[in-house]
Amino acid sequence: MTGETAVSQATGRSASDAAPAEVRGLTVRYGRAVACESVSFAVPAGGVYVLLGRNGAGKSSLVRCLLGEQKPQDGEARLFGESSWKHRARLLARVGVVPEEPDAPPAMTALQISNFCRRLYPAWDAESVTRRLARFGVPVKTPFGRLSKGQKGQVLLAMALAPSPDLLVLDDPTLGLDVVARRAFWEELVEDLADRGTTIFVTTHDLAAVEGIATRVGILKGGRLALDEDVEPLKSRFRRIRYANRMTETRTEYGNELDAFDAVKVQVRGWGIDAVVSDWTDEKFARFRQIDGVEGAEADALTLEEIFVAVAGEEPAKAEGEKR
Amino acid sequence: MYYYCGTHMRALHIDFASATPIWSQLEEGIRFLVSSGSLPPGGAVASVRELARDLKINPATVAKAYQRLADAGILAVRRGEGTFVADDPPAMPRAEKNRLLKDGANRYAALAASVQATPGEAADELSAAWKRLGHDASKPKKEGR
Amino acid sequence: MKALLAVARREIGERRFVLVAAAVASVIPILVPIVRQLSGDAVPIAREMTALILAGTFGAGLAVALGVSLFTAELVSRRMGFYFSKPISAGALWAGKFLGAGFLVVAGIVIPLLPTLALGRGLPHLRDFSGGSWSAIVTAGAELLVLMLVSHACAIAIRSQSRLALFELLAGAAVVLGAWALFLRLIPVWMILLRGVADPAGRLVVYTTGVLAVVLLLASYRAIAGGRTAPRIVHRRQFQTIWSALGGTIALGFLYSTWVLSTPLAAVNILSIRAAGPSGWVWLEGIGRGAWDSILFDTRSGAFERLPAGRVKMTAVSQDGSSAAWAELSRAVNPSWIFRMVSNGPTGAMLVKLRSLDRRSAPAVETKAVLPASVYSIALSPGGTKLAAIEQQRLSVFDLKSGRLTGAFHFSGDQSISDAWFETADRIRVFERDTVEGPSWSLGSFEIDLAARSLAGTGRLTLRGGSRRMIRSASKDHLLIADLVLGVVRVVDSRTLAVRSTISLSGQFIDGAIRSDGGILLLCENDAQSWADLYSSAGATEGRILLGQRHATRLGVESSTGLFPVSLRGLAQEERTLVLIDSHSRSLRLASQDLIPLPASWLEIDPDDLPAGCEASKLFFGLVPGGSPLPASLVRFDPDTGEKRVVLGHL
Repeated sequence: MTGETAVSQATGRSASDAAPAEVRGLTVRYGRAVACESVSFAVPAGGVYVLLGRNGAGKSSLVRCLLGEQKPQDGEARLFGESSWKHRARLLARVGVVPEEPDAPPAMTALQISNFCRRLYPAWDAESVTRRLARFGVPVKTPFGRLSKGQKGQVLLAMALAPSPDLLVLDDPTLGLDVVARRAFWEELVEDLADRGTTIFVTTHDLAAVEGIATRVGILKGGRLALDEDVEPLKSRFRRIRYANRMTETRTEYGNELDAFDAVKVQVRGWGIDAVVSDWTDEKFARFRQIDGVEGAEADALTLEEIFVAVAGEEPAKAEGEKR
Repeated sequence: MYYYCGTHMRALHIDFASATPIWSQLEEGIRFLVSSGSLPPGGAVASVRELARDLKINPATVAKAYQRLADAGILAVRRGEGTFVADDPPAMPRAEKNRLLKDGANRYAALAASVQATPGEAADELSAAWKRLGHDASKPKKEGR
Repeated sequence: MKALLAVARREIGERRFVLVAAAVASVIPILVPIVRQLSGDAVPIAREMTALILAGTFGAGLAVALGVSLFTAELVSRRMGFYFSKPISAGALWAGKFLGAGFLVVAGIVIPLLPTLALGRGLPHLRDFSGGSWSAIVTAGAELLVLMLVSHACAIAIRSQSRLALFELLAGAAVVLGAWALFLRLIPVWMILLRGVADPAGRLVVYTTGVLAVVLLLASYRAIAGGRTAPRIVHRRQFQTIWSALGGTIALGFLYSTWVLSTPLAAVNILSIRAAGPSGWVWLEGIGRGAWDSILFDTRSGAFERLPAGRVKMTAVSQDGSSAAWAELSRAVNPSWIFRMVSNGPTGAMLVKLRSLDRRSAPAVETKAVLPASVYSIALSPGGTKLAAIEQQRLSVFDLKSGRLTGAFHFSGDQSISDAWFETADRIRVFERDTVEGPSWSLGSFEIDLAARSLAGTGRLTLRGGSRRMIRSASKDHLLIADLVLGVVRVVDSRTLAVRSTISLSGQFIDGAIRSDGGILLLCENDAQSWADLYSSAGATEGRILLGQRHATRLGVESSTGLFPVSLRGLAQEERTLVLIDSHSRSLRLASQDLIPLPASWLEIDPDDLPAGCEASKLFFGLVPGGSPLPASLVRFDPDTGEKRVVLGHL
């Protein structure tokens, strides 16, 4: 039951600390193109923050700012309460990173990378690296450049976990991985969560995989943070409402029956109306059903993926396809 | 031991599309497994790590469900050994039970009404579902104290 | 430090094949003599040359290859995050990468040399290099490291695909132009000092490379620390740092040059003072603010004008003392100047500047006359309207107002022009004589009539004899020719070169003068004492004035009343005395203990142009009585009245 104690330790400790990762009014521009516009959010200690966004929504710029690899035009990114740009090297000793694109030198073997990293961190669990890679059958003496994409991901995750970081930053880590590699990757991550209760900041397109893990979600849309909320209240306030909308003799108004809700997406189908609302409550729905002409109203909860589609306005899978 | 509880706890199913929070689904599911006897009193349950991995959910969520169940006296944590079903798991307090039933009934009734089912049809479906769960509809499990 | 070493180790480890390649290359010099079947002395020479060429090319190739790939490859393929997502400070990454690459470059030079060094006795060809063969290797290594930095900077500029790269050439051109303009400003003040430095061009290269290395190191660090994973920002930071640092250096250089060029007279440590014509102008030279200064100074008004010392090649003052002219190298110069500084300084076409010495505050004006590089002397007409430019066998006359060439007069044969002056504004006297010393020598006198554009020989003199000195009378109508070997002094007519009188020297000739009254004064000495012999214009002895047991060191300019100042120095001790020889009463009088006459003129061919009693005849060096023999001040002393005034103190 080590998992349980680790989880409670993690939550207990982090309460007093500053947020492991935080951005405040972050703005990143490339010439006239805006990647992020005054984005602010905090990753709570022990939590799993999932940042969603369409391709080019500014996620990677944001991650680079968070890691102090890039200087924002405005605002600040902080790790453990300190500016990541100014104190990057010191702060990153507590952070494990899996980048969007595998960035290790192609000529280095996993063993060499591990040896190189061992000198950089105060603690380095070299054994965990070999154990982990052996478990997934990743050869440790093959140059990084010759590994498959899934194997590269496993190597980088192993390196990210070896210094027992307090924070893991994963920038679309399963991008381009097949289903098996993807599953292996997330399983590894969940185990680490159970073992250490590491705080995780992840950007991903693999919404189904993070559905059960995420504790908080942010959605970047057009460089702005369209949503930043804990998963539970988020899921409780989003509903898909489907109903038939009929003209009746007594009906005086038509087309404004959803006015009581904040409808983020409304589609007219053959059988009626399909709407996604972001402020669902039982009471409002009860009143909605009483409206003259609203017939057969049903409300379903949404998955994160559906919420993302409703908020960001595009299929994540499609976005992923474009990227490749 | 793990294999044993593993098989039984695989009966737990998390619906990500549900409006019910995951920890709550988990709590209800385990309550059900215990009350149905699938998890016998004194039996070991899966570790947080294992269950989180199997269900692909956040370990903290599992830990939260376990914590609530332990607080309710349904699970018992024995340091160094693991988590077990309590030797004599208490039934749910009547008020709580009534509240849960009422909530569920409201939701079900609303659904039934929206598909223009009659109360009779709704009641039939309920009994059928009850049977599918493997419970004997006529014989409620030992109740209250 | 741990991170730095880890990065350096990684760089070396990833390129360990370089060390292997160097080791393989090191065998080649040993194989070459065997393959070519050489024997004897040829073997070590072939081995050494092969090793040097190998080490040089290998090191240079390596420096370029490493410079190009060191950061750029990872930057443009977006793999810098590998380092920046780890606890490695930008400084450690930067230093570690360059340390690793630097180690490889140095190893790339040294390893191919090792077997050759072990087999032979060092590298004899490199021993000629100042500091020996190891110093040569260290210098080569340092230069290759700079080459690596340059390659790095170029690679960043080109491969970052930033639009700023287009401005790189512009900025580069601006900096080169700025540096060149600065060089032109500083060359006049530095040139003469640089002549005293061994291998100034080499030193200039070393300093420039040093500045470049510092700037490039700073730029690469700032670029990496500020740009981190973003190639364009890396390039922007590099661009800003390199060009602002180089531009700043040049701006500082300009400030420095302005500071140097505006050195006040009081801050100049004056090393020499010579009379510049009769009217009291002197030419000061010295070092002020670490640079050479050449100043035209008026002792009467205190006005002065700074001359571009390194560029002034020739100077002339008109006979009447009204104008001064000098030829200076035009500012459109040739880069090979730097390399010729050792010998005679730069050469090239010269422009002529003219300054009125009557109007004291008027600055020099640039005339339109342009002189070819072969001109070695100039003469100025009375009033400064015409300039005669003297080459080996040609005399050209320019009208200074229009800058036009108004006449060119050619001489033929194996003799060359030795001297020329304007007798009037339209008549030039030219002397031509042997270019080489021989048992006999001849001197020809010619007259140029500018109005008639004619050249006519007026006299020729052929004499036997060796080493000689020629002294002109102030009016220039007679020449005094002292033959130091035969011990004979002849006075000849400038126009006809007819010998007017021949005098046998009574001792060792020190100096002489043709007096304003036509008489002759000769300063002589032997080991025990010195004396002055006086003769009439016909050469008849008029008397001897004994100067005592002292050396006569310098004869001053005749005063208006026929007094000649003579500087004497004690035979045994550094005691200085200025005495006045009265050529009329043939008497001697003590003038002062602490004065020395100035050298008479600044003209290079012959001094002694100053008329009796002119302002320049009253200028003396002042000494601290009983103190250092070096001059302490410039003093105006009138031998006729005994009036004494310090013009410039504390030289």
